[in-house]
Amino acid sequence: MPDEQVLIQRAADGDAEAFSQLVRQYQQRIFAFIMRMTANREAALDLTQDSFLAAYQNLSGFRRESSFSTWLFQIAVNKSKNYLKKAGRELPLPDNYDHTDPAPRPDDSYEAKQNRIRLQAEIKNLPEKQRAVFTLRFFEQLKFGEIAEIQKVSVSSVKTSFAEALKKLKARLS
Amino acid sequence: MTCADIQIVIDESFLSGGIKLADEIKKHTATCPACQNYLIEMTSLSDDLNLVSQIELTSAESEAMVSALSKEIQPKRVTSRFNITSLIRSGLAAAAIIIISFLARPDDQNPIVNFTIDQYWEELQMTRINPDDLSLLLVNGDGTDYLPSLIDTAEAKYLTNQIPAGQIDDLLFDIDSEELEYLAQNYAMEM
Repeated sequence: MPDEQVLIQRAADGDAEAFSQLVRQYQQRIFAFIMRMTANREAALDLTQDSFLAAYQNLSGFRRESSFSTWLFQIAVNKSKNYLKKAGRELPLPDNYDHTDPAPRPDDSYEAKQNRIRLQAEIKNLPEKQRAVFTLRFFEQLKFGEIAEIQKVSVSSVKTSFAEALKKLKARLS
Repeated sequence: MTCADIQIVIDESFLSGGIKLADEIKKHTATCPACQNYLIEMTSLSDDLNLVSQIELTSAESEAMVSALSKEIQPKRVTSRFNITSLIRSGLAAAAIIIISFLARPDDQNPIVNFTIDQYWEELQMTRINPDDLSLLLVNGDGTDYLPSLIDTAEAKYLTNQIPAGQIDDLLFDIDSEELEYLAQNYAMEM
C-alpha cells in the first residue's frame, strides 16, 4: 500500500483513485465521529461525504503542519457544528428524538439495544464542545494535544471539557 | 502511591479503552474505599461506553460513498451540492455580489478581471459590502460563471479554518441576509 503522504500528493494532483484510497482509510472513523455528534445516521452519512469532498477541494491548501487525520477531523468537526447550528440541536433531546440504535447487532437482546440507545442519547445530550472532545478522546483515541489543535483551543481547555463531560456522563449513567 | 496517583492511573486506563490495572493498584483499591468506589464508577462507565463503541458504515454504505465521491470529484464540478448554512450562503452570496459587480465593470475600470479565485477571495476580504452593489448585480448578470467555483473554494477554506466565521459575518454588513440568500439561490438556478 502506498505511503499516506504519497496518496495525499497524488490526490492533490487530481488522482481520484488515490483519493478513494484515503476515503476508504478514514471513512469509518469520520463517520463514527459525526454519528456520535449528530445522532442521526442519514445526516452522518451525508456529512461524512461532504467532509471528504471539502477535503478533496482543499487538498492543495493542506499545509501538512498537522497530520492528515487531524485535518480531516477538523473538517468533520466544522461540518457537524454547522449541521447542529442549522438543525438547532443544541437543545436537549426532543420527545420525537430518533431512537435509532447507533450500533445495531442482530443477536442483541432488547435490553442491550435500549442501553445503547440511552447511552447514545446521553452522549448526544452533552454540550457540543464537550461531546466533540469526549468523542475524539475516548472513542477516537486522539491525544489531548491533537484535540486542542482540531478545536483551536488550549490543551487545558480540552482537558477541562473532557473532565466535565466525564462527570456528567458518570452522574447520568450511575 | 497516593489515592490521587491511583485515580490518575485508573483514568489513563479508562482512556485507553478498557480498565486493566496492575497488581499494585488492585491491592490498593481492595483496601481503600475511596479508590474502590472510584474504580467501580469508572469500570461501569467504561463498560457502558463500550456498548456504543462500534458505529460502522456497512460495506454497501462505504462503497456507495466512495463511488459517489469519485463521481463528484471528476474534473470541474459545475454546481455545488453543499447544504451551505445560511451564514455561509449569505456571506458567499455577498462575495459573489462584490465580485460580480467588479466583473460587470468595463475592463479598463476593472481591477480584478484577471484574478484567480484566491485573489478574488483576498479582494473580498478587504472589501465591505456596499448596498449599491445589489442593484449592479441585478442589472448586470456577467460573471455568474464564477459563482459555483467561488462557493466551493470559499466553503472549503471556511471548513478548513482558513477563514474565520467572523470574517464572513463582516460581509453581511448592512445587507439583509435573506435577500442575499434569495439572490444566490436564483443565480444558482439560472446556472
